[in-house]
Amino acid sequence: MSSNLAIAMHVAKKELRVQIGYRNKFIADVLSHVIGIVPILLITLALSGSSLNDIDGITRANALFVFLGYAAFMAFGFGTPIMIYTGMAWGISEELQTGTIERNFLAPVSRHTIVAGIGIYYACLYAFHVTTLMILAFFLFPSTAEIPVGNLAVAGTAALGLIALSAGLGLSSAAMFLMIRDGSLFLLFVHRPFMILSGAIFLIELLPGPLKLIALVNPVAYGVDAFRWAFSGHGTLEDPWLEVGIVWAGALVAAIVGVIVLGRVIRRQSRTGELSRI
Amino acid sequence: MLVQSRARSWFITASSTGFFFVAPLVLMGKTIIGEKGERLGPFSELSGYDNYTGYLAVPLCFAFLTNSAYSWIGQRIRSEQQSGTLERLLISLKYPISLLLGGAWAHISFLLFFIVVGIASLSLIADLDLNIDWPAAIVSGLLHLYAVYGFAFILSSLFLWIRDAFIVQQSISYFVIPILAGAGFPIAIFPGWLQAVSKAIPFTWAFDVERASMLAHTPVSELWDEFVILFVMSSVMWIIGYWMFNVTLKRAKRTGSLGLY
Amino acid sequence: MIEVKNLRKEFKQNRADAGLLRMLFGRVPSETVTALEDVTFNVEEGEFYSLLGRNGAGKTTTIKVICTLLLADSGTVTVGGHDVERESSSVRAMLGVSIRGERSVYWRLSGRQNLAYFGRLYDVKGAALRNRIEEIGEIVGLSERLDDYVERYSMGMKQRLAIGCALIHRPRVLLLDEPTIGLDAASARDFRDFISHELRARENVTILYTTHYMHEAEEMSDRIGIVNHGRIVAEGTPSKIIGMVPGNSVVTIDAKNAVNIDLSTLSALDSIERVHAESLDSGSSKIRIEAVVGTEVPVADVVHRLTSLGAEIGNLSVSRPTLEDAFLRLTAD
Repeated sequence: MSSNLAIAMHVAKKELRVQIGYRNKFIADVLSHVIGIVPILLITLALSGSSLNDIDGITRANALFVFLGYAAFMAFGFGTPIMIYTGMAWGISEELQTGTIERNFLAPVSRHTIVAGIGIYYACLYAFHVTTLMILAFFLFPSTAEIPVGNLAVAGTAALGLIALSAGLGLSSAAMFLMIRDGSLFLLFVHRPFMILSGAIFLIELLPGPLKLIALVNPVAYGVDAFRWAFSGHGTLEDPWLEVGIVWAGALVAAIVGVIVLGRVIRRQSRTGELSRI
Repeated sequence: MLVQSRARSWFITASSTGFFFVAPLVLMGKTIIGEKGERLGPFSELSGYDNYTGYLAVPLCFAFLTNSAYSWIGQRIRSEQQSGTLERLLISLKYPISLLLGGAWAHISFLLFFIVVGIASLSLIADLDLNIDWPAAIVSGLLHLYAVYGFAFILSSLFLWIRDAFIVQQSISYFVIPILAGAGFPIAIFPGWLQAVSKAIPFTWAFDVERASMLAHTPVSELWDEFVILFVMSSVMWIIGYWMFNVTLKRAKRTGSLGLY
Repeated sequence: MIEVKNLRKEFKQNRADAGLLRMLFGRVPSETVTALEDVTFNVEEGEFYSLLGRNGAGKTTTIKVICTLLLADSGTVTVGGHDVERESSSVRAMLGVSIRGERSVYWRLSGRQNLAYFGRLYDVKGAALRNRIEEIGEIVGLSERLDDYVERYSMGMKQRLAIGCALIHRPRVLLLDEPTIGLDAASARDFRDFISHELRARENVTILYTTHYMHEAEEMSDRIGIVNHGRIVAEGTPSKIIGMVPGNSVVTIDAKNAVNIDLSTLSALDSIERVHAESLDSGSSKIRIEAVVGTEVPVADVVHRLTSLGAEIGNLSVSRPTLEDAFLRLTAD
């Protein structure tokens, strides 16, 4: 039997082909991160008192802060660099609706591998988003192109950690979408708090008391902070390498929880027969 | 409504949409302006408002929640197609446009509630400091919804035309409302030609009257001109929406794509 | 090859009669439905076994338990000696399954891409996969259309592709769940020919087939199991099943000069259950002779006796009960 990784890559390739079949959606997925940042930058500009014809140094610094946080994790509207776990969930949801999920689960491979394969597709898309945003950053904020190699290592490991964390969460979100017919509730209580409490476009210390406490145990916040530090030299939470360690620890926990939850849900579905009910 | 009542999480999700989508932007405002408003001057000069949290929260909450109208109505067509009931419905309906109107009525019954919940929940993380002229605010809200459904009908026609219309519809509404109509910023930051484009969009006017009536206590009498412009623009969208729906429906009947999705 | 013993499965189903507010915020009332009460049967290697039953009888539930998509509440199922619950991976490797037919393939991919995808999931790769795809294309009659998007296929073609995907890894056992639903008469006929001639002849697989079309089961099956309310209520070859209901064979004869004949001479023959005659306006008689269950009317003997008693035989017809008669009788509530 082929290794699970090879099978997962094969599933990812299939997902790519299927997504290309939805041509307009695919184009939007590929470009959404660029469209998504536009209103945020425009609001930043206005709040800083600048206009498109007149951008000063303070505005540029504010915009860089927001841009780096967005590139690392922020999801807004439909431009979603955190689409790995939402993508895995919606991917599963779509397979449930088209009826192909059962057919996949009939193959003699781990069912986690099938879900992980969908995650790989979205992880690649996410990596593409981060990369293209950073290329854009080099033009909009030339200082980001002049960072030391050590900083690049921090940014790279932080981004990879966020990918791993998202994939781990993706297993749980896919499980929830299998279990709950309308899994948006899970996205509401997991996805959106993660999005909000990541401090991607604001300072975490401005959050009201209890929310700030929750944000400080959210590993995403540390990944975003490390990424931002790498390109701007400004971090607000911990030592960047410690932050990278926190992200990876979070990723490990998310992966373990995800594997267990997905396994239990698939087993439950096998008992209730709900796999084919949409 | 019966179909949606089976999706309990949808109700909870929609109730919290205003908070979850707008809160990060309000907090971003706090980050840029400063916790005590120490860097408020330039923004105040540009927008004419001191209350930046309300400036962001009120129109953005409307924008994100009314955005759901576009997906709601369009998705109704798509899900009727998927379940195979669209053709059956169109046989039963005397006026096919009732399909959209019915979806709109079901949606609007929830929407006003969601907007109130959204603005109230945002006040938990930021001092919105609303200063509302209620008659003007109600007229603004109703005219905004009038514009929203006109635009929704236009976009929903895409579902009879393009198979993966949802994302096209979302892209258009995303590009028009938060970007071109200036849901979260004064259009004064645009160059002149883009400001002219922005003023041709009814939502730009809707956001203006909402801010004026809910943040600056501006009465109806002072917003009369804006209301008339908004009403006329929205009516044009309804006419275009009605026409487009019928055109795309005829096209779908001609090409036999009514049941395809 | 497949052994199913005392299979039982219950489902909890939400009721739809709660009010709007209760559906939104309350606890939705549910009820328990027994899908499989006590199902026991086995399928021999190379056999074509059909499960016949009405809608909701438990056919698909049985198939889903066998193919590891559903866990039974009690009972055991083995495929090729492997337990479906404990050794599910080995079982899945042996099985080719087509459930929900055309909905089990990716419409946004081509036929070839679907075959390649599912083949790869079963560890078929490289040149072997490419050759097998061509072979499958030929077997399911889609060679010319393999590179078209599936969304452009007719329903029958999608069904055949789904079966092609199920066959891609040369499974030893094929499970087909109502594969001809929605097909027109001609396509269904082609499909049956394909199963009976192409598939069984070329692939030599054991087939478990579910349907509620009697003629299909009668035409293709070695054995049939009739499922009703989650139980196998009858099992055997098609002729054995037909033989399970009374009124096995009936001969009707129009005869002249038969009014005064003593019918007991016919009743005395072996295998005759009942003889009934009625006079027609034309002066002739209509004689109806029913055989004992499980036997045939000895037509030659009957004719010989009647003619020897002076009757002139006009029309003679022989009718036998169909599988449908047997099915309706066996599944009557």
